[in-house]
Formats: sequence, C-alpha cells, structure tokens
Amino acid sequence: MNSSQLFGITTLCYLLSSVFYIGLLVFKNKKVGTIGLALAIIGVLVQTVALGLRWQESYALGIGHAPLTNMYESLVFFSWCTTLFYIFLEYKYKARVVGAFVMPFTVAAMAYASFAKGISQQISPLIPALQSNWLIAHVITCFIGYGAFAVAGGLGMMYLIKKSAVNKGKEQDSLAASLPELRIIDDLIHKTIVFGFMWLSAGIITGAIWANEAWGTYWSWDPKETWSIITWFVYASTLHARFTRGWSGSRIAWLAIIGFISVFFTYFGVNFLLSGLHSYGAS
Amino acid sequence: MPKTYLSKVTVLEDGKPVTLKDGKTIHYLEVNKPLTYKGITFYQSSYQPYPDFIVTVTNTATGISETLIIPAGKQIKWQEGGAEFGILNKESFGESVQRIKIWFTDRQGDPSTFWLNNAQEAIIKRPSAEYRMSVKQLYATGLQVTKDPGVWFVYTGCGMMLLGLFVAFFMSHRKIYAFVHEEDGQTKVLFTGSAHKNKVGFEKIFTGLVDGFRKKID
Repeated sequence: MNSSQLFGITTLCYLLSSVFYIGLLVFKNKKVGTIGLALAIIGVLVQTVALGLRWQESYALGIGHAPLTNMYESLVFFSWCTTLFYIFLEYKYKARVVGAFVMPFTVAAMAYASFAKGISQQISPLIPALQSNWLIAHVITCFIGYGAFAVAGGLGMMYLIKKSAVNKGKEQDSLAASLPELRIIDDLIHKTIVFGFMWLSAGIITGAIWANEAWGTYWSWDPKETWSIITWFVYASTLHARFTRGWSGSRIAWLAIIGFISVFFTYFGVNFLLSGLHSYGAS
Repeated sequence: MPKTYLSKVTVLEDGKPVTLKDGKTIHYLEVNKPLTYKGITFYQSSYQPYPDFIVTVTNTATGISETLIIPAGKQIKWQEGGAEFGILNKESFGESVQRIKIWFTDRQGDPSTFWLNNAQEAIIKRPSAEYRMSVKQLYATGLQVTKDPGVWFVYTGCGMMLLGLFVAFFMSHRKIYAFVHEEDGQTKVLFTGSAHKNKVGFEKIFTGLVDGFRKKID
C-alpha cells in the first residue's frame, strides 16, 4: 500500500460522501447525512495516513521534505484542510446539509490533482528557495485559511439559493426546505470568514517573515503576494462592512463567493498564468 | 534543477579573516541561511556564470601548485611547473559548463587531450612527472546586504496585528444590569444586557446566566 493508492481511496470516499450529502439535501433523510459524514471522516483519516506515508516516502527516497511543495501536494493538502474544517463545523454547529456544498470542492481538488495533465505526482527534491522550516508554517497557515474560505463560498451559495426560494415563497420546496434558516447560514458565513481571515493573515505574515529570512526583504510584489493581499482586502472589506455598516445576508453571501473566487485565482490563476517567486507551485 | 546556491564567504576585518560565531572563518551562504555579522546581514540572492575558468594545477613530483583564472582557447605557459595547458572545448547547459576538454603538455611526447567534468580533478601522467589538475567554471555571486535593526519592531507589529484581530473579533464590551425592586410586596429582579458586537454569542451567555440565577433561587 503506497500513498497514491490511499489518496485514490480518499478521493472515492469524498466522492461518495458528496453523493450522500446531496442525497440528504434532496431526500431529507437523516441516515443518508450520517453516512455522508462517516465517509468524510473515513476519507480524512485515510488521507492523513496517506500524507504521513508520502512524507515518509520522501525520506525513503533520500529527499526528505513535508508533502507541501508542488501543485499536486498542495491540492491534496487543500482538500484535507477543507474536509477537516468542514467536519469541525458540522460537529460544532450541526449544520449537516452544508456538506452538499463543501464536499464537491474537495472531490474536485482531489480529482484534478490526480487526473489533470501537467500535474506531476512525483516526489521531487526541494528547490533551494523552499529549503526552510518556514515552509511548513507558511503553507499550513495559508491552506487552513483557503479551506475555511472554500467552506464560506459554499455557504454563500447555499444562502443565495435559500434566499431566492424564500423570496419566491417556495420555502417548502424540497431543496430549499432542507437548508438551514437564513439567519443560521448568515452567522456561519461570518464565523467561517473570521476564522479564515485570521489564518490568511497569519499565512501572509509567516510568508513575509520567511521572505525576510531568506532574501532580506519582506515583500517583493510578486503576483502571488499581490493577489493574496487583494484576497485579504476582499475579506477585510467584508468584515468591515459587517461590523461598521451592519451588512449581512445576501450582500455578505455574495462577498463570500467573490472572496473565494479571489482565493481561487490566488491559488490557481497565479500559478498558471503569472510567473514569479511562487512559480514552483505550477508543476 | 539546481540543488543549492552556495557561496563560501569570509569576513575580513583589517585584512584578517574573522572567526564567526560557529568558530569557523568560512561561512557557507545559502538561500535560507544568511550570514549576520555586526548587524549586517548577507543573503544569497543571484549568480552569474562567466566564460572563464578557475584552474588548479599541481606538479606532484615537485609539489609546486598554482591556481589561475583563464579563458577558453588560450595556451597557458606554466614555467614553475614545467608545463603548458589550455581549454580546447566545452559543453554547456545554458550558461553552465558541464564538461571541459583540456589540452596538456610538458613538452615531452604527444600532448594529452581529454574531457573533464566541471570541478572534477584529473591525474595526468606525463613522462616528466605526474600532474593533478582541476577546472571549474568561474561564477559571480550576487549577495543582498541589509542592515535592518528594526526587524523586531516589524515582527512585534505582526504579532500585535494578529492579537488585534483576535481582540476585534472575539472580545466585546458587554454590559449586564440587574435591577432589584419591590413590586406588590415581592422582590423582583430584572436583568438586561447589551453587547456592541457578536450579539448572537452574547445572547447565549446572557441566557445561561439568567437560567443559572433562576435555578439557584428555585
């Protein structure tokens, strides 16, 4: 059993989990939701083992680095963070149907990592710029943030679907009826954004400190840095609007979606379209 | 893909090499391992390959050794060692030279010509003596130098920013009032409270307090 087989099992678990969560949304059967959660938990456990195994495999190859160094590894880590964050959210707030809006993201990330052309699954040696302990702190803080923002984006979509059903007077319609109340979704969006924002801030700060330790400059305005500050501002504005202008509901839901698009571009767009200090992320 | 970018650095003070913190005079400067000396930090930042080569030759019979910087395609006369040599050809990957073709003679018999990997040593057996020779491409290193005594202010600022976010999001001004008064010969207690943010969270705490109070009385 090697790490890529385990990642395959993980993908399958996440896929089935998504199916069951969507089943919960459609059929409103609680048992279906429990199976969805169980599959997500099994998936995340298998993935944890697989990440540890890949780490160990890299040592066995004489390379020896945390599995956080290229597009494949970062996608896998992204889906791990997102699922873990979602399980925590479900445990804490009992908003089970949210899984139907979150788990598909993790399946997409895993599937893209495994099947897309040009994404190498090989464990390769670290380029000099990444040979530092800051790598782990920087990537983990950023990706916990990304994971939370993915969940917030899913919640935003959920809010808008529910809202449009409420506006049309179709609350009892099968899909919208199984969604939580608007007030609860709104609160969850806010909490998730706050959580993600703190981690993104920490991620940007660890990045700046690392840059200073490695190159003697905190900030070089490379595309990844610029886009991460744009993302930071989107979420900062969202929180600011809520705190000082009392924004809530649809406007915040839209901002959660816009914010996630910005995260998506910071993550993918920059890696594939713009070259800079973070270019190694594309291979 | 390069494995590392490395510069061997020696700090000179009054023309003498300085012993650094680790007890050595040579520091191996790498991308994530800068050198700080008296508040000035040196970072490995770039490099530039040159068309010249650093050649070290030793006559093992006499023990005479010399290091020279030579361009390719030029015949070098090495009087002390009693030999002549030059670089005939080179194989490059981009600007980095991988292999070098050497021409070497001690003016006895046919000259030796052979390929040598960059930075590798060759032993040349000649009629007059045995020679050791290594050839390495010359590189310039680009170092970035900073003097940043305020770095701890910046780091403290970063820490305070995170702390500030925590305070802004998770702490709030909360006011709770209890109004004790008499009404129709009975003691009544009225609770009111307000929070300037996170009202949902405050509602939970407030209800918990009031419920606890009610239980105590009952």
